[in-house]
Amino acid sequence: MKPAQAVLTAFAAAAFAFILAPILVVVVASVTPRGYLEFPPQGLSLRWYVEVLTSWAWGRAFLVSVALATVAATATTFVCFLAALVTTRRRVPGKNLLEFLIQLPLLLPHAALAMALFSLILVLGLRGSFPGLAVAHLILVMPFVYAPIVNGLRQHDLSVEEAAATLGADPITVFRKITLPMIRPALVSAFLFSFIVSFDEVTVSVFLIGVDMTTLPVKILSDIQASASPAIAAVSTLLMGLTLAMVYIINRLIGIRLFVENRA
Amino acid sequence: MSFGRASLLLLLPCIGLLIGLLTGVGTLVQQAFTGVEGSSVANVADFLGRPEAMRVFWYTHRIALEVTAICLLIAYPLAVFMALRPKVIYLVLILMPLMVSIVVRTYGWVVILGPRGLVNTALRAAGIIDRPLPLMFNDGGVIVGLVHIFIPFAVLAILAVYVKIEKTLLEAAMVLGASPLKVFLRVVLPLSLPGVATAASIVYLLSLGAIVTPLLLGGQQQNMLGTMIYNQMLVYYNFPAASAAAILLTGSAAIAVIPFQLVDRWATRKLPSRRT
Repeated sequence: MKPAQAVLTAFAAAAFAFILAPILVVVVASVTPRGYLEFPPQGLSLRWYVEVLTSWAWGRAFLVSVALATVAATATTFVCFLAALVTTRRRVPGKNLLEFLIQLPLLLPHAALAMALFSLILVLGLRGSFPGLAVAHLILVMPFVYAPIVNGLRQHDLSVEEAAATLGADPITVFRKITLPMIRPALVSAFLFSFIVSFDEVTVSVFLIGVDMTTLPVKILSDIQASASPAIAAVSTLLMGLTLAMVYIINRLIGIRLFVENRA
Repeated sequence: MSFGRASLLLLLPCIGLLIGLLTGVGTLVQQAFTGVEGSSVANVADFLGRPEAMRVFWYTHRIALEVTAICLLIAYPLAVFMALRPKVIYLVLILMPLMVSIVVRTYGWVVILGPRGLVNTALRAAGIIDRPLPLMFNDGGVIVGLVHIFIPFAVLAILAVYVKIEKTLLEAAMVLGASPLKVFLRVVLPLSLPGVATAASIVYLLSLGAIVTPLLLGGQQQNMLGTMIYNQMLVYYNFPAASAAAILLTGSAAIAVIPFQLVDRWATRKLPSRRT
């Protein structure tokens, strides 16, 4: 069994290297002082970070992405929380269909989902506008929000609420003092998780952007196609840093294992 | 809190969003089946009748199949490793890439495989080559990129089933004299099959719908359905053709995952111990 385990460990090390390589490479490539992309970089400079952080185009795309992710995560968390409260506490006719439709954005092939949301935005007459992007992202992140909230509500013991009600608390007090605090970790993780999904989304957004309304990942995509400027590496590193900081916060709040449970 | 009939009103915002989604899907279907003169199957028939469109169609499924196979070959041993040594750090290493934008990760492969990238620079410095190897803008580039993006999903799906395998079953098999290899082949592998089937359908589905990776790492000849839809829509403004391609993509995806679902069902039924 010993040699078999050594082989397995070596394999796992190689697999982890493969998984991390493109991420590390982007970070390293971002500090090149040259005007073109090279690896490994000859020298060390923050030139491209300065360029990116002082650029109006990049800043604008960043702000659009932050605003979009904030709107999508806030609204979807609220909407799914309301829906999950009902579906976990009473019989809802057509519940299976409802939950299937909430999962649908995950089940459709991404290119087809992009076309469907594009069609919706055209019907609504919102192409190229922020509200159009927001509607699409709201629908897009639903599966990521609904599942953790339902999990959170199921784990929560209803007898505590009944006890509070028996002791004379009115429904609003029960909700504020019992339900909300108990479900808060699930709500926070749903919010952060959907924020990340929306913030990093590119496949659907690329169909919906407008002339002066682009998101950060879409701007990165079009810049890669147009040039191989090291500025892209610097932006990518900043974007990654932000995403990973949020993952760190989620981990501190509720533990990273939640992701495994949700996806399984 | 009492949840009477009125509480159903709380579902309304959610239902509103779902109606939006269905409107989008409906419009897409309608577009795909609308010809010059009213309803027709001309767009879909046109797609099926064009050799280069069908070439893209089959190419997409071939790439998805290859990506799925390679993903499983890497993900299965990795999941076994993670199950044997359950450390949070390994989980973090798997989950971290999942949280990084697809466009950033694909760009990472451009940096590694590009003409002035890591591999070519290293090989040139070592004097093995004097002209950059074409590592991207071909099948290999697309496959490497897609495998990389979907491996975490495969690992998590397999791991979720693997950690639930009853350890006493393995001990029983050992006590009864089975060799470690036999225990693996006759006990562990069949028990983990539902996880493998789930991983396969997830990876296959995700590969079929990919746009960004084939766009950046594939060449003119490596057009997948996703990039074809992207081009029809955003370069040629051909809504009917893009819709027809999206319909065929979705339909063939639904059919393609049936075998994986059957394996899942078969394995689950054959192993009643999993239900407890």
